Amino acid sequence: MENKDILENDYHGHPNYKAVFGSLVALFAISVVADLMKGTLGNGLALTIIFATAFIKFFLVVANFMHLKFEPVKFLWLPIFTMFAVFVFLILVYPDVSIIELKVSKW
Amino acid sequence: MATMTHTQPSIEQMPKGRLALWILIAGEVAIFGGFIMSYILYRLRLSDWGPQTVHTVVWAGALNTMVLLTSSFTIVEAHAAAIKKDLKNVAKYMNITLILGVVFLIVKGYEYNMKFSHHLSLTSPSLLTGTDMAAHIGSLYWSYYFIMTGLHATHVIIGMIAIFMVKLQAQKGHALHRVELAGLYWHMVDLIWIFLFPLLYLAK
Amino acid sequence: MSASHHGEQSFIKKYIFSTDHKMIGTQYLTTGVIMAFIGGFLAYVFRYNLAHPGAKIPLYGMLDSMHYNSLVTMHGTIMIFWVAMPVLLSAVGNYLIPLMIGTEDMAFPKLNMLSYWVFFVSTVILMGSFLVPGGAFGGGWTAYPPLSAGDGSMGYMKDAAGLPVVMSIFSGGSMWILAVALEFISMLIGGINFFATTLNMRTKGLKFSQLPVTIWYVNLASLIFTFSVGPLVAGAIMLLFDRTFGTGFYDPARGGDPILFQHFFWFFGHPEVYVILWPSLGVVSEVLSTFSRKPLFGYKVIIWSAVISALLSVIVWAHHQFIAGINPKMAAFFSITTIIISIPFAAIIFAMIATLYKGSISFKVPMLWALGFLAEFLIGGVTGIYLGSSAFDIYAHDTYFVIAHFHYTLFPTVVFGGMAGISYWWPKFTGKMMSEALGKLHFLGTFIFFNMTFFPLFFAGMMGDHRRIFNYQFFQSLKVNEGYREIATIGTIGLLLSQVFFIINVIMSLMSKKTAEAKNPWKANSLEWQADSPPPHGNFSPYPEVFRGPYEYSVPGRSSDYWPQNERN
Repeated sequence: MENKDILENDYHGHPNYKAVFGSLVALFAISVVADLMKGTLGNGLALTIIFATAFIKFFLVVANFMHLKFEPVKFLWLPIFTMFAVFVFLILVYPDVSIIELKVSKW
Repeated sequence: MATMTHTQPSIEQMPKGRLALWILIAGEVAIFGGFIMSYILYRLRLSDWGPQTVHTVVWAGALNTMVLLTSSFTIVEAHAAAIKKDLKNVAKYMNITLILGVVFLIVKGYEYNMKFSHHLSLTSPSLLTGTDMAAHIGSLYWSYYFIMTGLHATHVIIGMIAIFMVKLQAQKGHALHRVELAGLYWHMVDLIWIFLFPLLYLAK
Repeated sequence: MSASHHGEQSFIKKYIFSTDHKMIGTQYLTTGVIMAFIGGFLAYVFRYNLAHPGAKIPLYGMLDSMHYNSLVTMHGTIMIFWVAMPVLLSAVGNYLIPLMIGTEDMAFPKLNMLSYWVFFVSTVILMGSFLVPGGAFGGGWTAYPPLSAGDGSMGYMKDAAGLPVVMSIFSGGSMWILAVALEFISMLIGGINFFATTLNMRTKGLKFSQLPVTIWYVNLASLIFTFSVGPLVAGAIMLLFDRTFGTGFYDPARGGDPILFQHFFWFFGHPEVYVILWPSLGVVSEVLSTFSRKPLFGYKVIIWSAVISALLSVIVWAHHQFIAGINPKMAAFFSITTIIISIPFAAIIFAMIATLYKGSISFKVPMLWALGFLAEFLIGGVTGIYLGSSAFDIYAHDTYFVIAHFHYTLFPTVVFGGMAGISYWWPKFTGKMMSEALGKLHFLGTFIFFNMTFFPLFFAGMMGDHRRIFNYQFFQSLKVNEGYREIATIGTIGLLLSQVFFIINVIMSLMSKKTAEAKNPWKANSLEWQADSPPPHGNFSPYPEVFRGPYEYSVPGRSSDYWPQNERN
């Protein structure tokens, strides 16, 4: 299959790139504002907003700019989720695994 | 001689270039995931890392985030133009993406310079010469900072080279399908920064 | 893109810088086999030393403790990354994928060629590390810091001013890291090729459920490799920076944690051993089915078991770290997952045994290797269950029991499985037959001496022999094991000498004439047997169309006991 034919075999449908970009900028603005307002919001809430916006931005880029939402090969979502699952798992496991908390050299 | 493949039309069909890029992206994400995961673990467990984060320059990080988000937008517009075989816009959007990449690197360079002038680098301060206790534990924080942003910047450069090489062909109308592939790699670079920014600059 | 080349290719294009998947597979196989002999020789040297400490080793000379460390390190490194991977993953995948799916070459032939040459460069760097001042890396193939981060004492070396001492990039350890990194890149590129080819280039009529299990296994192995190697690449970069720039990623004095490297290493290291195992299971499955004249039992069960084992393989890794200082509660978790993962593998082994049941078995050389694999791997697998229990592992960790366990898994996988594959597909790729008699002698010698080498080590380990010890003379309580060490060393020498039969067989076969029998001597079904022996550039003319799966042997009502995939009726 000639790669050039790909342009004719393009995705079925495109997102509105400008709208997606607008959402990305808005989310970015929210995260910066949340950071600046850490005092009033409290650290926990601010961090939640910041990382939630990061995840949403991630999915917007992956689904729209990288066209995963329009990709007929749906199984590609699997590696994305697996990656998250694996790393979330790793994070959960590690603090439990190693009980060495070092502030100063004890060696 | 028979034609090359007799692949049956099925939903598994995906242009091989795109498939290859996705697997490459998966591998790269695994690598950065290793760095990010261990950074998060250290950040949560070593209580002396927190004070170090004060020194990251939020406005520079924020500016770079805007730069990369915009460049993701421009490269996908280049892809849209490539589909329509609109060569002029293909070149235009790819050029803007490259310029934004340069801006990113300049801001990064300025940031690094600021750090170096405060004696914060990959290996600093060393064990016995630093008199500030908090500083010499925090040195691991800076090792992480520089290695993660440095590796990311390296990938920005690689992405820019890829975009440039594809652009040379694409603006003449050849191999237009590669615009998307270079774009995919560039989006990955952007995605990594989407996580590096809050981790290194906002979470204090 | 047409792959027909008109006219003869130059020697360089045909044999050296070839983009033909068969030649690339041959390159990987040849490099892997040569490295196997090198790795085997290293084992001979240190085993001789273990049986006769202080003696001058024939063909080598005197061995001191530092070089001993280098030998065991390089033996492990070579065998896993420069023998098992190129032979079982790269050679098998490259040779068989295009042929088994009925297409002309890989999806990215030039990228394929690049992957071999990157691998070649990695081999040169690794071998070069023997020659640099300080010699080859000696920190164990597991390369734990602080030792691997730069020195031989606890912690990191400091110079007079108290600054960390850095090592040159041309030190044995840094070259080791570079070589392994390049090998990883080569395998990553190869994996992309395998997957894209399998997904996109199957011939007409070939559904996923009609693929030989080897194709499933090789792709699964490549994907798991790709996902699990990432964190180790991160960890290895940090290790390299610790060595060459004096960073403190693993230096406890600067807030680092050596155990983090262990986690990075084993998060990859454990899936890696399954990455090596799966292609071998595929090869053995093909051979068992063909030489029993029976369909492979439980095709779907096998595929699902393989996938489940792959998913589980990423949550068992810390069973390598039970006594490294991890939280005992987490040790319990990893014990459970480790023992659970034996279930899908057991299912696969049972399916293979069931394939044999009531089959019409012919004991040709490939079948002997396949049966040998089943018998020996079973021992390795079962002893793994013992080690998976953290309570037992507290006693057995870092003893020769572990060495015996992983040699009873790795050796059958790489050598028995690899030889099953080589002897099975040799006629296809050379157009010539191998001598059955020499093959049987090779098998017999390998089988007997392999067991002689490693079985005693279970006992030596249980009686207290610790791993990576240069001279047991210092441990009076371990005198009881001298007999075991002696037997193991004799076994090693016998094992290496038995390989001579293989070398003679190869040379004699290559010097013999091509024969028509070599097109499908085993009367097998899968598509590669429908191509000429050896397959020409482009493989098939015309390309086959597939009507059924590859395991239709002894179908009732048919006059012939096999039914090739591409035969209409």
